[in-house]
Parts: sequence; C-alpha cells; structure tokens
Amino acid sequence: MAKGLFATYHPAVCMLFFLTAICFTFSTQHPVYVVLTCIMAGAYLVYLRGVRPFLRSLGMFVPMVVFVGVLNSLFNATGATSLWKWGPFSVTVEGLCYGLAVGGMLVAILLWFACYNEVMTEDKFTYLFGRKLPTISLMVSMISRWIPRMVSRGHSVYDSQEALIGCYDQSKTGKMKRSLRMATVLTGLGMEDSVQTADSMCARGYGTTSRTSYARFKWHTRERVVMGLLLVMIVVNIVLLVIGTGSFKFYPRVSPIEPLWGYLTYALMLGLPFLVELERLKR
Amino acid sequence: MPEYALEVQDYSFSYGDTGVNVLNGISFCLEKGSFTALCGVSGSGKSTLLRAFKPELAVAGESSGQIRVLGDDPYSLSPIESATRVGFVMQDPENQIVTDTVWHELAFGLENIGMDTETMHRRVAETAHFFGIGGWFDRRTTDLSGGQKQLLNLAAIVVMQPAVLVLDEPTSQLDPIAAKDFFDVLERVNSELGITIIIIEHRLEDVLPIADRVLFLQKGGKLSYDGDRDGFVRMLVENREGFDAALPAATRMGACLNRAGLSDGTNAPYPVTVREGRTFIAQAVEHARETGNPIESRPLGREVPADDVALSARDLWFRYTKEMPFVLRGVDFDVHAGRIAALVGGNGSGKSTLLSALSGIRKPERGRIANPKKLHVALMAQNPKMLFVHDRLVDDLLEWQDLGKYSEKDVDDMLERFGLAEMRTRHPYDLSGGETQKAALAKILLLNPDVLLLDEPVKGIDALAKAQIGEILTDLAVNEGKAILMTAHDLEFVSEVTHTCSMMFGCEVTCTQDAHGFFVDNLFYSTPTARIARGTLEGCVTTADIAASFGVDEGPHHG
Repeated sequence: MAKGLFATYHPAVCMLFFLTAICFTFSTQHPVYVVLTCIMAGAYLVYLRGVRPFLRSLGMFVPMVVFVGVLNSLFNATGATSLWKWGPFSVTVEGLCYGLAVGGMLVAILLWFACYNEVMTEDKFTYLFGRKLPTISLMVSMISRWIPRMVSRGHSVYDSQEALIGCYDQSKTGKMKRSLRMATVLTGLGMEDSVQTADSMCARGYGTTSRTSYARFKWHTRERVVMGLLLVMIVVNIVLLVIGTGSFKFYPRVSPIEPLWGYLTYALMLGLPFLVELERLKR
Repeated sequence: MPEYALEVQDYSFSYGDTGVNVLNGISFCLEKGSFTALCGVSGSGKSTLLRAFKPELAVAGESSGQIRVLGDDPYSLSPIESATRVGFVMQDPENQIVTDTVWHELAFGLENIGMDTETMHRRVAETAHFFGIGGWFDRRTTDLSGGQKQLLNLAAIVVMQPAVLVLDEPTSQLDPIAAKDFFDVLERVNSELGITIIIIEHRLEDVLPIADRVLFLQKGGKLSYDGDRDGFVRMLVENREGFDAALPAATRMGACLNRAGLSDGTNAPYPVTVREGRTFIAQAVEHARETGNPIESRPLGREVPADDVALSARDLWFRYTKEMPFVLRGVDFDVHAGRIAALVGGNGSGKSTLLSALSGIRKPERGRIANPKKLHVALMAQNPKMLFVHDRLVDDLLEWQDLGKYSEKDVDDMLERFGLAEMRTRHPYDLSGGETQKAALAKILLLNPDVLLLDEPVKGIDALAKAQIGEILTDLAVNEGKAILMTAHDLEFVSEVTHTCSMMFGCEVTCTQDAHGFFVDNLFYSTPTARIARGTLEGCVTTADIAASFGVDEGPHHG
C-alpha cells in the first residue's frame, strides 16, 4: 500500500479525521499548536507522496508564510515591542509573530487539503454522500466523465477547423469567430452524444426502481475502534485547547509559552494516520 | 418453456408521417444460444428492426405484427424485466459510457435495478473476471482505448445477464485488432455463457466465421435471406446485387475463380477465412496445372507517378507537452502531387500526429516542413461530423463560400459528384457513416486545396461507400494532380487505391514503397489476399491480381 494503511479505512473515518484536522488548525493560532499541525500535516504528506514532491510544494508554501507574516506586520501596528519604523509603517515583534502564526496556519490547512486529496479519492467521496443521494452521486460521476471529454473534443474541433480555414484569416476577429463556431459545433455534437447516452442509460434500466449503490467499503471492528478513539481525542483536545490556551494572547505582548499536556494530545490526534500504522509492528 | 429466444412474425414498421414501410412483413425465429448476423445495405432498416426488440429504444412509428422475446411481448414485461432480458450494445464506444470509472460503469445497470450490494459485488467480480477487466477495474473511463471502451460496454450489458444480446455495428469505430479482440470475446459470450446473439456488422470477414445463421435485409426492408453462412455466401456471389463487395477477400477470390471455371470443387462451400482461402487457391493452382491453363506471374511493384514534391518534412521531432514522450522521432517524409499515399501502422504509432504536423497546426520541436510552392494544405480530421454546423447539408457546404470563392453551382456539382444530391436538405448528423465521410470530403474540396491530408477517411463505412471514395480520390490525384496522403487501417482499401504506402512504427516512418510491392514484401502486415496467396501465387495483393494471374477478368463488383 503506497498510500499507507489509513487510506484503507472507511471513508467516514478518513473524512472525520480531515474535518477534525482542518477545523482544529483553523481555530487556534497558538504557536505550538500551529507548529504541531504543520509538522503533522507535512509529515503525513511526505508519507503519502514522498520527499521530492513535498519539497517542491514547500517552495510554494514558505514564501507564503513569509509573505503573510511580513504583510501583517507591515499593516498591523498594534504590539508593544517596536522593531523599526519607516514612514507610516511600524513593525512590531508581536505583529510579526502573529503574521507568522497565521501564515503557518494557512500552510497547514493547505497541507491537510493536499493529504485529503491523496486519501479521499472521488469514489470515496461519492460513496460517502452518494448512498443518501444516489442521483447527486451519479451526477457527480457523469459530470466528471463529461468535462474531460468535452475539453478534448473542443481541442479536436478547434484543430480541425484551424487546419482548414485557419490560413484564411489569422486576425483576432477571425480567431474569435472560429471560437464561436467551435462552441456551436460542440453544442451540436454534445446534444447528439447525450441522446445516445440517454439511450444507453434507459437500456440498462435507469429509472426503473430506486437505485442501490455498489458499496466498495465496509465497517470492520477496526473502523469502529479508530472512530471511537478519534471521537474521544476530539473531546479531550477541545477541552485542553480551551483551558490551556484560553489565556494566550499575541497583543500587546506575546504571552509566554507554557508546557501543556494539550500539545501531546494534539500531536497524538493529528498523528492518527501514523498511529494506525503501528498495526504493522505486530508482525 | 418457450422454444425460441426471439420470434418475429410478419413484422412491419413505418415512420408515422410518411406511411412508407421501412420494414416489410418480416418473420423469423432465433433459437436459444444461436449467433446470428444481420446484414443488409445501408438504409434497409436493420437498426430499426433491432431496436424494436427493446421498448426503451424502439423507434417511434407505426408497427404491425408480433415480436416475442422468450415467448413474451416485450411491451408486456415489467420495466426491470424489460431492461435485463434484452441487452443492447450500440455503435459508438464513447457515448454509451455513463460514469467516470470502470467499476462504476460495470455496476451501473445493477444499481439501476436495485440489486443488493452483496449480489452486486459478486456479479461485477464474475463479469470483470470473464472479460479480463480486473487489470483496469479502477481506471477512469476517459483513459481507456476505444477497444477497451467497447469491451466495457459489452461487459456492462452482460453483467445484467440478458437472455438476448443485440449489437448494432459494435466494431465500426474500432481498429482491426481491437475489432478482432471484441469478436473473440463475443464468441466466448455466446459459446460459454449461452447468450443468444444477433448482430449487425459490416465486417463480414470477422463475423461470418463465427455466425451460425445469417439474415439479409434488402432495400425496402424485406427479409430476402434466412439460413446458414454457406448459403448466404452462395446467394450473394450468384446474385451479385452489389453487396458482394462486402464479402471476405477469400470468398471474393473463390467466387471469381469459380465463375471462371478454374476450380474443381464448384459445389464446395466458398472459402471464408484466410486458411480456407489458402486451401482453395492451392487446389485451383493444381487444377489449372492439370488442365494446362497457364498461370502468369504478376509483375512486382506498381507504377508510381513521377516525383513532384508538394510538402517535405525533414527530421521532425514532436511531443504534445515537455513532460510527455516524443510522438514523432526524426521523421523524414515527402508528399507528392498527383499521388495517393497511405500511412499505415498501429494505434499510437504517430500517424495522426504526422498528418497534423504536415498540415501546420502542430509545430515540431525540431526539424522543419517545407512547402516550396506555397500550396494550400487541408486536413480532414478523424471525426467528420465535427465539420458540420448547419441544419441542412447544402447550407453547410455553402458555409465557406467567401473563403473558398465558390458558387452555389459549385456546391450542386460537388453534391452530384459525390452522389449526395438527394441528401441536399438533410441534417448532416442524419447521414449514414459513408455519406458523412463523403460530405466532409466534399466540403473540404470546395476550398480547392492542393494537398489533402485525410485521417482515416474510410473508418467504419461499408464496402460500397469505400469503393466510391476510392474512385473519387483516384480521380483527384490522377486527373487533378492533387497530393493526397491518408492514414488507414483497412489494408485492402489501401492496396487497391494508393500509389505508395509507408509504415509507421514507434513514432518513425520505417519504410516507404509502392503500394503493391509493400504488401507483397510484408509478411503478415498485409492484405488478406496477400496472406492467402503467399507461397502459392507470388505477387498477388488484391482479388484482381489473383484473377489476372489465372488470366480471367474479375468483373465489376456492383451494378
């Protein structure tokens, strides 16, 4: 399993985990929490995709943290410890810290989303929401077949008319006209196609009775255990987060960072995909 | 239990408005587990007949007579029964696929009829296994090849366990190798699962060897033949009503030699497969020797019009994006005026890409294309429907009047030349496959290009339309001096029509030769006739070659 064991769990477990990770990341800018969620999300992404692709995406994320940090400190002059002043801009240590924390938070969210994309493939998503809404899930499936088809169709129609009449008129208006013509052709072909697709659906009994769903995932004891664990950790973490970091402030001065139990439970919760991997050690 | 899978009694059908019968008093019964080929010229109502077996797809109009599927009137069945009893596979592989993944497509029909999850899993697994789909079960449907798509369509029907499987030209959009694969699987569906099959098919070459029953519909929708394969072949050969051009090469050769009295077994069944053809020709040669008939050896090679370079490509390297591998690797190629040239080769060998590079819509990364005489180059893409935007064919042909500076009379002449005058006011999408190809060619010719690049101009069309296109192309090259380059999978067509032939493999042009020599020298990538004659009669590529070796005239195919 290239994607790790967690990806094999029931979509509901995976979904709840990512929702938790993203919501928690959103709800606190406490520096330790931000660092923890960044580390956990980063580590999981490395685990899913490998080091190289991760480093490549870091090239995008680091400038973002710096950008948000600098921007915030430039435009936000609250904070007691001034670093330097330049005209209307005043940079404070607190502003810079807050900016970096927000930047880190954004990066963590993006990283979690990247992990989500790796784990929660489309079929899992449609499975999760499709059984309750079979029509919607079928629609999602049909649309995700239709879009790439239309795009490649569009390219071939464009190429075919470019090869015939492109040489007569290379001006902007000529190109515009041809794009319009392409849209007309695509509409015509699209309608023709959809009649046949509709035939194919009817021929296979679409609309005869209420649809069922080809479920590819099952609930095992493991799913129940992990789900329960996750729920407990969520409750514990909410409590610890409120108690432990409730008094934390960036302004006017950054509160001192105290050692808290919350850090550990937070790291454990976000490290769930790794905890699940412990099963391998048994062998 | 009913005796027959399908019974049709005195069935007639007309479109409500015209009152003209498209189908006329048709009666036949198909035994359970039989494999039947339904043949007929285009416009004889084949599709209309097949659609009548399935109320969901039936054409609107007025019908009389009776149809029974496993003893029941299809209209009296419950919706679920009706959906599962008769399975229908259509022509276009793309449009039948509904969902985005292979597994979902397989499950689609079962989900529709509300099957419980456990049974569904089991059925899908069994079917995927039977069709060898296991390896691409998780793939996205857009990423499949045409052949895989059509296999998936078949599997997605068979998973519903139909008693009767109806197929309407399922392989017309596939290349020959994918078509062979499809027929192999279809034969297994018939012989191993016992599903009754009725299929409309142009490729008699592929379908006749596996069909145990043939129905032939005449123009006007009358059933004029119902019986076994040998009788069908005999009828076509003897009546020569124009449909015999569609017969397999082995059969046409056998018929031609029989007519000339050159084979001893005149009453033996006509050969259908290449193997049967080889036995037949060996006997004919033997017979000719005994009776003292001379056998001329055929001249090797075909006369090719003198070099007259229209386009020349040197050292072309091309890829679609920097991340993808090269699709053309150092291709050198010349297109000559007054010549018809063909590019043959497997799928993905770069044929279409080379055409679009020559047309100028794709710029090579390395190398260049010279057009020294500044000739006008036109490219006809693979799907000819893409060329049409108007509701009437004639309006469509007039579309580029200002660009090509042609008159309405030119359009009428062109319609006449292509035998499309009757279709003038038809919607271009309502034309048959062959007519669409001809109409697209007509539209392009109105622009009066000097160089014609045609991507698969005979894909999925019947023998008659193919012959017409062949004649027009020859006329254009020989009499009007146009340079023509086409890609094609139909090697027989290529061997009959083109002057030179080039093989593409692995993104390179591996060889170019005169079309006759090309097919004589190729060992197995050659026409069926060449494969039949190899070792017995040297230098034969077409039926006409064989006839000429024996010193007889092949005679016209039609008319």
